[in-house]
Order: sequence, then C-alpha cells, then structure tokens
Amino acid sequence: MNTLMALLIGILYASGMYMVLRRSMVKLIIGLALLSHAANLLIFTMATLRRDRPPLIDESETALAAPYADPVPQALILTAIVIGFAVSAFAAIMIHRVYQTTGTDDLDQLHTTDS
Amino acid sequence: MVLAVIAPALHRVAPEQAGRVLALAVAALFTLFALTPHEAAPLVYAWAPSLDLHVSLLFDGLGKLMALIVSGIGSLILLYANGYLHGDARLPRLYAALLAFMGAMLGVVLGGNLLFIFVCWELTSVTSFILIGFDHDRPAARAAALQALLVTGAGGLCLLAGVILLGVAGGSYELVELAAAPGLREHGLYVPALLLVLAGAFTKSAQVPFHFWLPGAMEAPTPISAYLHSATMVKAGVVLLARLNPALGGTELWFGMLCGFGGATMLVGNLGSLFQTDLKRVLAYSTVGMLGTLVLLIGIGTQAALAACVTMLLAHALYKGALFMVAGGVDHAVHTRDATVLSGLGRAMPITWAAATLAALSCMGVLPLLGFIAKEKSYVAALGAPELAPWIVAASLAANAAAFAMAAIVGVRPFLGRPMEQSEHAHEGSFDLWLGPLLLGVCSLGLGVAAGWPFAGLLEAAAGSVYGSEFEVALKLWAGTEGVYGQALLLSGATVAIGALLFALRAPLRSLAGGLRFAAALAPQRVYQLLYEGSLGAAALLTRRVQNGLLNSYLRTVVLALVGISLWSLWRQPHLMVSFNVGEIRTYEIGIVALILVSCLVAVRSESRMAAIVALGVAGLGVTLLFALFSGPDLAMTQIMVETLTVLLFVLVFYHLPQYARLSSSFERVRDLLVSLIFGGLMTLLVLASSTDILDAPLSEFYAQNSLVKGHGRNVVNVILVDFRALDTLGEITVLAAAAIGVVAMLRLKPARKEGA
Amino acid sequence: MQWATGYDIFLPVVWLLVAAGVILLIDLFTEESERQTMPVFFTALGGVLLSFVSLNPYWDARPVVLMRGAMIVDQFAVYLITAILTGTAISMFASISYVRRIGISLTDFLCTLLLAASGMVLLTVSNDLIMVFLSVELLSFAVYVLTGLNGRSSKGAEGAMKYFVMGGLASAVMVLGMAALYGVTGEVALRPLGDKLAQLYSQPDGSQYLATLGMGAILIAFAFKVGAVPFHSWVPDAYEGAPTTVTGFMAVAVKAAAFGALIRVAVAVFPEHAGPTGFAGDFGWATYALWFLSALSMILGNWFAISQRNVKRMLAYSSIAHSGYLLMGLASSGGRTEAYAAILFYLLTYTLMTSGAFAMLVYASSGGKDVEDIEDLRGLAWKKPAVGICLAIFMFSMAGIPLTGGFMGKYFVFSQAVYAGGPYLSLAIIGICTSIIGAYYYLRVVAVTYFREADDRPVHGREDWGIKFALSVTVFGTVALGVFPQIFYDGAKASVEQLRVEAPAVEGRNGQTSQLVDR
Repeated sequence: MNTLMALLIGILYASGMYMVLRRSMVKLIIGLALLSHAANLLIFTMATLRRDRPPLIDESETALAAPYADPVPQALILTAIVIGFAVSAFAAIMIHRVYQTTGTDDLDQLHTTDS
Repeated sequence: MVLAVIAPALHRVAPEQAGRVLALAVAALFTLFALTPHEAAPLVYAWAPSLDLHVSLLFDGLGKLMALIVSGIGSLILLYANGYLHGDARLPRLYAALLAFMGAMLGVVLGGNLLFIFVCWELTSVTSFILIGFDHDRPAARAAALQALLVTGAGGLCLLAGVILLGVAGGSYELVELAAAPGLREHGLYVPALLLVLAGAFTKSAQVPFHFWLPGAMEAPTPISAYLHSATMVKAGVVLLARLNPALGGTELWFGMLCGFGGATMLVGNLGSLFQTDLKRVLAYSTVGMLGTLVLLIGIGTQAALAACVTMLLAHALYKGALFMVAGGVDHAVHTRDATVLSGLGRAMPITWAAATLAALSCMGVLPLLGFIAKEKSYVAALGAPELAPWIVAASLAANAAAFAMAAIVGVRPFLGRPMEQSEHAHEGSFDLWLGPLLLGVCSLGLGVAAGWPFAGLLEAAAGSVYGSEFEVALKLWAGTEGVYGQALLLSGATVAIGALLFALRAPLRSLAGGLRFAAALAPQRVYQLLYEGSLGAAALLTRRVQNGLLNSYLRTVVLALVGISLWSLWRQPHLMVSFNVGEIRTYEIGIVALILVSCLVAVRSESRMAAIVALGVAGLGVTLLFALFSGPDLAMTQIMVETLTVLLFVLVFYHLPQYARLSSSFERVRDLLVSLIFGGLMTLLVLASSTDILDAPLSEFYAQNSLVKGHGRNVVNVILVDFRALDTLGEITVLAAAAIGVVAMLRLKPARKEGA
Repeated sequence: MQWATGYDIFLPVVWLLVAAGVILLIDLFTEESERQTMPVFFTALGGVLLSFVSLNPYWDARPVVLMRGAMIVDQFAVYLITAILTGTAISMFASISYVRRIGISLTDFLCTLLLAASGMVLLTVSNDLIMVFLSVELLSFAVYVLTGLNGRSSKGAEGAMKYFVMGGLASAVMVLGMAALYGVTGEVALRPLGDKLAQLYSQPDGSQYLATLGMGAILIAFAFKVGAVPFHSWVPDAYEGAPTTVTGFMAVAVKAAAFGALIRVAVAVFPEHAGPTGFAGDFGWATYALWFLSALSMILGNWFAISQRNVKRMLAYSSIAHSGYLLMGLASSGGRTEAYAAILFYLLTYTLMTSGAFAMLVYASSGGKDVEDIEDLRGLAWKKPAVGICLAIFMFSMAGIPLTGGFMGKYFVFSQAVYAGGPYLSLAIIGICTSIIGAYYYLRVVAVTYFREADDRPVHGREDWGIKFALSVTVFGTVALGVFPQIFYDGAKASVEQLRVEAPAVEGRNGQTSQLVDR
C-alpha cells in the first residue's frame, strides 16, 4: 500500500505543481489545493499507515494499545487542513479582488509593479 | 575635547561676528594643544569595553603636531570663511559643518584605537560630502560630492575590513598594543589586512589611481578646499599610515606598495599640476603630488625619511593652506582663477602678494624658508633609501622641479607683470581674508629661519612616534655641504634650474598636454565613470530580467530550488534504500487511489473551471476516504467538511471570473510538465525511502499513555489538540479569524480604479 | 509562586487577541466615524502595552519549556518579543491618520495588525515544528490581509496576490519539510529532533536523504519569509503594493520574528549548529546553503536597489540586502553566542531604522499624494529641517555610517564573519563590497532631500502627533544604539546564551492537568 500511496502522492504533487505554474489564477488556486492534499497525505504516509487502529482509547483500557496510528502527525494534519481551508477561502476572495481591480485572470498581465 | 569642538556647531546664532568668535575659540583650543606636553602613552576612556571599543587618545608627537595643524589652520579658515562668504545665508551651516569636521578630524589624528579612528574617519568623509556639495544648486558640485564620497566611502569600508582583520591578527585595536604585538607581520592575515588598510588610506589621501576625486572636490568653496582638501582631511590617510608604521611597516610589501603608489602619485600630481589653468585645480594636483611624496617617505621608512616626512607635513600644511587662501582671495577680488589671465595684481593687493610670495617660496624650497629644510631632508631621505635610491631621487627631482614651477604659477605670476583689465577694481579683501595666508606665510619664513624653533622638539617627537622609538632629528637651515647634504644641495640647485625652465615653458607645455592630459590624468576618472554608469545600467538591466514581475517565474524558482536540494541530497547519498512494500492492497483501496488519480488528471486537463473544481472536490473526497481507512477518523471528518465548504466557495467566486483561455505556449507546458514530474517523482522516492518504521516516537508514546489519564479523553488526537496543545487550537482559530477579517476587509474595500493592467 | 512561571507567557498573546476582539466589538456597536479613531487606537495600543508589561516576570527568568516541548520561554524570546512589539507600536502610531487617508478602516487595520503581532509572539516562543508552522501561518495570513488593504491602487491587490501565492507555496514546502523530518525522527520538538539528526548524521543509516531534504525545505520556507534571494521575488511587489505603514511593519516585525525562529531552528536542528563543539572547521551543507543565500541576497539586493526610482521599492530591495547581512551572521556563527548576539543586535537596529524610514515616508506623503518616487522628496530637508535630519540619520544608519546603530550592527556581524575566517571571510568581503553599493543609494536619498530645490508641494502633518512620536522614538533609538551599543549588545548576548541551556519543563497547572505534574 505504501508504494501505491507513494505513487499517488507523487502524482498529486506533480499535478499540483503543474497547476501552480499555469498562468490562470484559477488554476493556480486549484494547484495550491492539490498541493495541500499532497502534503497532508505525505505526513499521513510518513507516519506509517495502519488499518483500523485509530488513536482512540478503548473503553476497557487506560492507554492506547500498540500498534496504533500515530496521533501526533494526525494532529499536525488537522492543523494543516484547517489552515488549508483558510488559505482556500482567502485565495478565492483575493483573486476575486484582483480580477475586480485589474480585470484579468492572467498572471503574466500582473507585472505592472516593475519597470 | 572632541565633543567640545562639535558643540559650538549648534551655536550658530550670532550672525556678524560668529566666524571670528568661533575662530577665537578654536585658537584657544590650539593654544591648549600647544601647551599640553605630548606623551607616548594613550589616554583611554571606555566606550563599549566588551566590544574592544575604546576612545583612546594618543597625544604623542605626531598627534600633537597634527592637532596643532588642524586647530591652528582651522581657526584661520573660520576667519577666512567669514570674509569669503560674507553675508551668505548659508554661512552658519558652513561653520557647523566645518566644526563638525574639525572634531572628527581631531579624532582621526589623536585616536589611539583603530576602531575609534575609523569612526572619525567616516565622519570626516560624510562632513566632506556635505561641504563639497555646499553649492548644491550646481550639478557639478553635486556630482563631485557624490564622487568623493563614493571613492572615500568605498575606501573607508575597505579600511573597516582591514581594521577588523588587524584586530583579529593582532588581538587588539589599540595602536600601542598592535605595535607591540609579536609576529603580526608573519601572520596569515597580514597581507589582506595591509592591502585593505592601504586601499582605505590611498583613497582618502588621493593616491594614484584614486586621485581623481580630489581635483573634482575643488567645486567646494575655497575655505573648504583649503582646509579639507589640502591641509587636513587628505592627510588622514598619511597619518594613518604613519600611525601604523610601527605595527605594520618594514616589510617588502609595505615598502613596495608605499613607494610604488607614493612615487607614482608624486609624479602624476606634480606634473599634472602644470597642465592645469584653474588656480585651484593647479593646487589640487600639486596637493596630490605632495601626498604622494609623504606616502613615499613613509614607505622608505628610514629615520631620515620619517624626519623628512613630518617636516614636509608641517611645511606643506603651512604653505598650501596659504596658497589656497590666496587663490580664493584673488578669485574674490577679480572673479577669475584662470592662471593664464591673471597678472599684475601685486599693486592692488599688496598684503596678499606678500603672503603669496612667502608661501610660494616655501613651496619652491628656497633657502630661508621651512620648505627648504623639508626639501633638503627629503632628498637626503631619497638618497638614503635602502633600495631603488636612484629612481626615487630622479622622481623626487622631477616632482620638486614641477612643484617649483607650480608655485611660481600660483604664487608669483598673478602678482607680477602688466596689470590685467579686472585689476582696475581689484582691491584688498577684508582683514579676515588676508590674515590667514599672511600668518601662515610668516610662519613658513619664521620656522625656516629659526630652524624649526619652537617646533623642533615636537617634530622630533612626531618622527619618533612614526618610527616607533625616539631618535634625533637635526633641523638645520644649513646642513653643510658634506656627504649626502652636499648631494642634496646639488639636487636643490638642479631643482631650481629645471623648475625655472618648466615655468618658462608653461604655455607650450599646456598646449602640448592638451591631448595628453585626458589620457594621463583623467584615465582613472574615465574608469570611474564607466564603472559608475556601467553598474547602474547593468543593475537596471538585471533587475528587469530577474524581477520581471511574472509570478510564474518566481514560483518556478522555488520549485527548482526544492528539486535541486532533493537531487543534491540524493546524490550525496548513493545508497538509498527504496523498499517496495506492496504488502496487502485491497481492491477498494486501489479504487480510491484510482479515483483520486483520475480526478486529479481531470482537474489538470479540464477546459472548464467547473469541471476542475468538481474534480478537486472528488479528489478531496478520495483523500477523506483514505484518512478514514487508515485510522484517521477525525481527519476524515474535518476533511470532508472543509472540502464541501471549499468547493462551494470556489464555485461561488469563480463564477464571476472569466473562462479558461489557452495562455501558455506548448513549450512552456512541456517545460512545466517536466519540472512537475521530476518533483513528483522525487516525492514518490521520498515516501518510498522513508517507509522504514519509525523505531520510537517518544512523543506519540507519551500521548498514547497519558491521554486518558491526564487529559481525560479517549480520542487521543482530540486530547492533543484541546488539552496538551491547547494553544495550537487557539492559534488555528486565530488563523481562521485573520482570514475572516481579511475576507471582510477585502470586500469592504471600495473597488479601486482600474489602472490598466 | 511556581505557577506564575509558565502559562502566563500566554498573556502577551492573549492581551493582543483581547485587544483585537475589543476593537471588533467597538466596530460592531458604533458607527464608523472620526470619533471611533481614538478609542480604537488606544485599545490597540493598550493591548500592545499590556502585552509588553506581562512579559515582566520573564526579564531575568530562566528558560522554561511548556506543553511537552512545544513552547519555550527564554530571554531570547523576550528580546525578540520586545523588538516585535516595538515595531508594532511604531507602525500603529504611524498609521493613525494615514490609514484613513488611504481609505481603509482603522478597525480592520489595527485588528489585523494585532493578530499578526500575536502570531509573531507565538513564533518566537515556538519550540516544535507544529507550533512553528501554525504561528508562521497566523502571522503570514494577517500580513497577506494587511498587504491587500491598499484601497488606492491595483498594486495593493497585485502585490498581495503574489505574496499570498508564493507564501502558500512556501507553506506547502514547509509542511513537506516537516513531514520529512518527522518521518525520519519521529519527533516534532526541536531539540530532540536536533539530537536525533546529529545522531543520524554521525551514524548514517540510509535516511539522511530525507533529513537533508526536510531541513532544506524548511530552510527554503524560512528564506522565503525573510526575503532572501532567490526566494525574494515577492518582496518588492508586496512592499510597494502594501500601504506604507504596513510595509514598515512587514519589513520589521515579520523579519524579526522569522529570523528569531530561524535562529532557534538552526541552533536546535541543523547538525552543524547543534553539535556540542559547534562546527569548527566543518563547512556543512546547511551552512553552504546559508552562505549562498546570504551572498546572493547581499549582492542582488543591493544591486537591484540602485536602479530603483521608487523609494518603497528601493527600501524593499534594501531589506533583502539586510537579510543577507543577517544571514551572514547566521552562516558564520558556528554556534558561537557572540554571532547570534550580533544578529540580534542587528535586528534591533534594523527594526528601529527601517520602521523609522517608513514612518518618514508616511510623514512626507501627508501633503496628499503618496510619496513614491524619489524625486518627490526633493528639498524636503529645507521644508522640514527636523524631518530632513531624521531621514539623514536613518539613511546613514542603513548605509552603516558610524555613530548610528547601523554601523554597530554591521561591525558586529562583519567582525563575526571575519573571526570565523575561511569561507566566511569571503562572505564578509562580499558584504563590504555590497555595502559600498548600498551607501550609494542610501546617500542618494539624503542628497536629494538636501541638495535639490524643493518643489512647492506642501508637507503638513501638523496634527499628526502619532507619526511625530514614531519618528522621535526611532531616531532616538537608532542613535542610542550607535552611541551606546554596550547595553543593547550585552542584552542580546545574555539572551542568546539561554538558547543552548537545557530548559526545565514546566507542565501546566491549567485546569484538568493541574494535579498531574509528572516531572
């Protein structure tokens, strides 16, 4: 499964990068979203994939019984997901505003700031 | 003491008499300096002790001599400025800057700590910048000011580097301790440190090839030229070299560098002066020449040379200051400084004439004046040089002869001959204008006749402090005709003869040099211009290329850097363990992965925005399922909510945006595809390489053990987030809040006017 | 009172957040008007002051670690927080009337500013990867918003867009790096992470590839935040587009916080820095990277600045160059406390002179049109002599002319590089050559204000006491740092000495975990 995940992550990263390098702002934002998926899966996979061992303590126990899915990276991913949402929301508004003020979606048109 | 000098700069209230009062104050300082006995030990005040920064004042022979020159000529200059710029509204500013400069300069000459010297050194550069650009409505003055600052500033920074290196090599910034530091000359850092220090000193003291800024600096009003650019500031480099002589001198490199550059400067400066017509430029070139002589003498480094050096220093300050003031006085009276036009002013301006004659004679090195003694001593030194003596003597002879002619052009010629037209209404300037040059001229004479008295002892001490230990300096007006003294006398005779010849030939010389002048004297100036404009142009060009405003190229940089780092670290580690842990894969898992892959491709390939967004959503869903399958229930829950919201939001917002257009060329597409594929491949490799189990993760272990016990929660991830790491969650909420405020604020902004993209 | 050490370190953050909340409430319940200005401003200022005061118990305290190593409170953090809060307060003072002039709401502005500041404070105390990531995001977000708040021109939106997109990418890169590091070590807290890495590099087991990649990615992300070449490209656009006071804030506070975190991470995580003997003689890869970042930033930052006619843009490039000088300190540190102290000192100076320079620009634009082109400053010194002197002092300081803080900072950093010798000597020489270029464009500004005839554009700002206050504080500080460097340097040194001290952990006594202190 790891190998499959590795492949998946690779492709997610590649397509995210490719989208980020496009000139359309919309594609760029989609690319960022794909990258964040890739990153989350990366952390997830790094911490060893385990089926059906959620980091929940059983009613009968006082501590997690090994083996368990590592809770720390999960906490990190949660943070990343939430922040990813903030990024997406803000990005949407941002490109909306940029489109409003400059009237274009093409990033290469946005080089008014240098001589 | 230094601060006490800067303080009156603020006192620029009394309009009429301010100059005279200030001059008196500085004269009092002069007296104070004169009455204070010199001593070799430094006075140290701690400034920032743990940083090796001390204000240490070295009031030894050299320090005292220079302090006297700075304050003595300073007081005369203040007086002179009062007359020269009488009634000018900018006069108070001039005083302020002059006094600030004087304070800084005193710091340079008296400083005993290299860092302290450097600080004052830079301050003199800055004040000089302000003073050269004093007539700021003229572009020439602005350009000259900037040029001087750039050249000396660049040198200054080199000096800083050199000083730091010296500090590292010698273990101290104190001159006294450096001189006593053993093995400094053999230290590995000696050569770079020396070169950097020399770069600083040479730029400041206008040595070839950095000499060009000094004639340019003549854009300053005459009092400033007289003070900064002949008597004091330009000597800072010489003083620094003299100061460092005990610590750094005596090596082949030292001798070669100083003699080479000093000698070249001596020739270029003195001969160059003959080609000029503007009195001030003539003087400027001759000053360059003299600075070269001083550097050369320090380079020779024998007792005789150092004795000659300090004598020359004093003599030059006296006569060159006077000549500058005379030139200014003439300019003030007849409004021209063209040496080819000026003549016959002697009758109208008798006092100035007298002063000029005295100064010029001293400069020529004529018998009873101080200049004679200095010149004799320099010949003796040249004859006694350890190496290359004949060359040095020949160069000195040429230089001195040129100086002779130069002095005749500036100090004698304008006052003799037929009265020129303008001399009809020429008149003697005010008391302020002629007192300075006259006093200096008389000093030249008096010191010559009295063979240095009352300064003989001081000069001896000064030479001693340059040499490192006291030795006897015999200042005699007539040293006899035996041995080297006889040869020196012969050389003096030759000087007078050649000098007179040069003076007679001055007109043909000037015309002959018309073309030569630019080639020889201005070449470095050209280089400077080329460098200056070239770097400006190159900067503009490069900025446009690199900072092209295109976001894509910026992003590509980041991606490429990342790829580069990955490749590099891969290369560094040839034995990469890649484990293909296919393990058990369940069919539905393959299905999910395939779903993500397909939607990913759709998102990339789609020509429709909506399809891309939906595909993004589907990919998110797939990720959610993966989280759920591999024991991350909380992640799955969060992800699916966030994903839904994101898709909704994108749909709403993008609805207002234009349709996709084909923007990139296929070359760009292929290139980007390649970059992305490499990157993706590296990521795959990364995951594969890491699929060894983490042996122990103590933190996770801790949470696993204590979640229920301490956090009273069975969902470990939740406990981590809301209890063990509650601040994380607070931070997350704040991020969301920031984003929310951002969204609101963005929407609140009135649409800006379209400025044309 | 054991409980007083530890969790009340949240207070600085909490006070900032509370102030932001109160401002939002004021905004909610009152009409947007002139009368709103003062209450809102003083709430914000109060937040910053309270935050500052609540640092009090930590001034001389020993370092403590909180939340299982997620946070650390030491002198280093306190020093940085002081610099950050100073920068924030100066920006606030400078903005009082400017913000209204450019047509954005003061409440939005101050609120976001406070959030950004809280993110920075958090960043300085972050001691594990998750906290670092979180607080970097927090501060970045707030700053993206601030950058985009320029209602006047499309440049604001454009600059913010570029900043935001690149920032997003940098965040992704940072997460990538963290994932890699966690994958190798199973640690998120910096110090154990560093120990494991050092162990890993001394006994390679085949996963250094990951570790190197992880550290590299984190380094890239930080290089982006501090605006080091080649990750600098957002800087000019964002600086130019943002409202001027925001630019000042970005240049100063963001950089201080990011450098603080970078130093902390470098000391703890990069093996070259983490080893017990430092890295004497060893020129490891992270140092290579820092060397190049520093050299490129110094060269290109200064060089690009020459050809700028827009003052804000020029200062943007100059801030890139200053990052280069700071990175020089880091590259050549080799774990020596003197070097870190030099960086901190430089940061402090930089904070003062840069926020002063931007406040200057705000002041000069009070006549109506924004001052952007350097020609707009013509003859300013004669119109407002005091302002001219301030400007000259800031520019002299940036150029590194003695008796200003800038000189002292450069001196410290350069002498550290020279002291380190070897490859750093060449770095110092590059630094000196580029400083010469730097001197040119800084002094050109001074020359324009003094040597050119003034136009008849009025400069008032008579009623703008806020900006006057900001200017006086910064000028005074810049000169004080130059004339009395000792106190500040010693402070910096004392604070970095704690960087390596093994900090005792204090487990919280908040709520439910209170009775269960295990160590």
